Amino acid sequence: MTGQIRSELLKVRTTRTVWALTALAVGFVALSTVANSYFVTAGVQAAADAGSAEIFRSVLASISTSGAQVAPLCLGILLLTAEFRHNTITATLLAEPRREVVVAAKVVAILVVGAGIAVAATVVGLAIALPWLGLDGVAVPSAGELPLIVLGNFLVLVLYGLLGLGLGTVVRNQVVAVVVGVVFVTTVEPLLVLAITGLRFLRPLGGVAAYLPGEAASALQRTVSVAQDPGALHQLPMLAGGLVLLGYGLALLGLGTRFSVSRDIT
Amino acid sequence: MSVIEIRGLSKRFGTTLAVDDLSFEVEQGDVTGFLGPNGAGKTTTLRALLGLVEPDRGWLRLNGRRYQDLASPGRQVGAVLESASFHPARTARNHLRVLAAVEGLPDRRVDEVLALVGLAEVARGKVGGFSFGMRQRLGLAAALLGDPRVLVLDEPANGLDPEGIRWLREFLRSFAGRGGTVLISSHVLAEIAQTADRVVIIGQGRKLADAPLAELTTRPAGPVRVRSPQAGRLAAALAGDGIVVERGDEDGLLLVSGGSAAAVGELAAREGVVVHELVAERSTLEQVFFELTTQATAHATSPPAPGGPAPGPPAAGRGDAGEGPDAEGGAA
Repeated sequence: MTGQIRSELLKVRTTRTVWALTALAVGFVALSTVANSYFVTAGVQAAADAGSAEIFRSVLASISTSGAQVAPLCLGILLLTAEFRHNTITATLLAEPRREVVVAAKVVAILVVGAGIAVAATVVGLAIALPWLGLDGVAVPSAGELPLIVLGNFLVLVLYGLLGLGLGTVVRNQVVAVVVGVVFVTTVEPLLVLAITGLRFLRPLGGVAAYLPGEAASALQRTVSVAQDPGALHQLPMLAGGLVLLGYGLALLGLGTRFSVSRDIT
Repeated sequence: MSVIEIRGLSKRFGTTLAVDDLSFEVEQGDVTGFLGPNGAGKTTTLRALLGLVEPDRGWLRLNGRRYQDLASPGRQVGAVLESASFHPARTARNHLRVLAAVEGLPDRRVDEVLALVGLAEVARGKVGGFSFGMRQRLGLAAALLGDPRVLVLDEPANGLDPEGIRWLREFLRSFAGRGGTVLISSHVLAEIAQTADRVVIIGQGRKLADAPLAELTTRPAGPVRVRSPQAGRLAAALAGDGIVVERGDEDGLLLVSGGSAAAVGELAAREGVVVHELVAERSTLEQVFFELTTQATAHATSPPAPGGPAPGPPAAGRGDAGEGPDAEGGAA
């Protein structure tokens, strides 16, 4: 198992994809943190109304849901689908024929790599937000709050990686899996949430919407996602949000390992 | 000792029965050629043996275990499969390092096998830029990483240049000479004829022959060829002994059936006839192959009505080709 994990990490390190996606994530974080810091502090009223914890939460949400979550998501998807695309799955399974061991090693790999991306994103986000908000006179929130915000965003990134790996085990076709994953996260889900919060007759679905992956991520960040209307959506507690996101990843992994990865390699 | 055992393997893909109740064994120290026309079920058999394809039925063992149950399979069995594939952006060396990591093999071993297959110079080149033959060598390097005692090779000579083919042949011979066991599928019959100790031929997913190579290729095939400047006298003498003689299409050539080369030679000596050429043609592997596989195809083109009685044993091969005794199959 440790050999297989080492092999999986080496696979990630020996192509450029991981660096490209990390750069993409960091870019998203930087742009979004700058924009968020600017808008939060430029709106004098908003700054006066909101407590500093709330400002920090909304600005630092850039670390994970600025589009940066797409990086671990795609990396998770690629970890398995690239093996089928280039047929390296044959060599992988000859070296380790127990497929569940291969999947388990990939889970460890994506957690490690996701954590790496999360560290980079966090460093960039904090490096921009802390001085900027400080100069604008927003006090750093009380002890314990800042680490909790950082932890929430960190977990969002790591869990999106797991979600991607899960999706990749279910949908072995690389292009389909990436398109489905990215379009869902960046378009379908925000539109769904917008519809639920905006359309009166869909409002009763607010409770269900809280269990969407993006809303579970918002729960981890403890921000209100699309509409700045706290009454529109029920939000899960932070821990529950984390468990929901973890649940999606594990459910997909279970399904994919049982029904898709187990198929004949011809 | 049987290193590889395949008993009663059947595998269906959709409506196609790819492998149909196939059984054979590979003994330690043997190079066994695994032959059959395209679509005969060779690749499916090898993939089932290596745990990549789940058999519908059958008992498959390598070193006494299922491949999935081998401890450190890479150190026991090396495999090259037809669609050997690589991530194009990864270098040859990194491709092997990824595989070496599974068994905890050092980078030194990676460099050793790269040198062994003649890829040391391009070790740090991306596989995407490799020729087919170079990829094939890289596939072999991967198979050899764990220094296994058993090799399972699916069309390994494919894409190799003549130099590479000769290298492979010599490598396999010395590998088997050191007690290693090889199961090798190929459509290059001449290659197998030069390398294998034993041959298994399949067609339409069924076994057609399973015998030592020598046994398959020492059967006399066709008439004895005799060339003599005194062909007329010889023909008359042979005919006088009741042996059937035909005139060949060349001057002085006789085709003798019903008598061995030895009989013809003795008669010629007795009669004092000069003989320039005396050849008892043996069947080549190629002849045996086509003989068996065309029979199988002929059977398959007239299938029984669904649910109807089966048309007897399909092309069980000739008696001397020896359908090995079917071991008792058991679901794995």
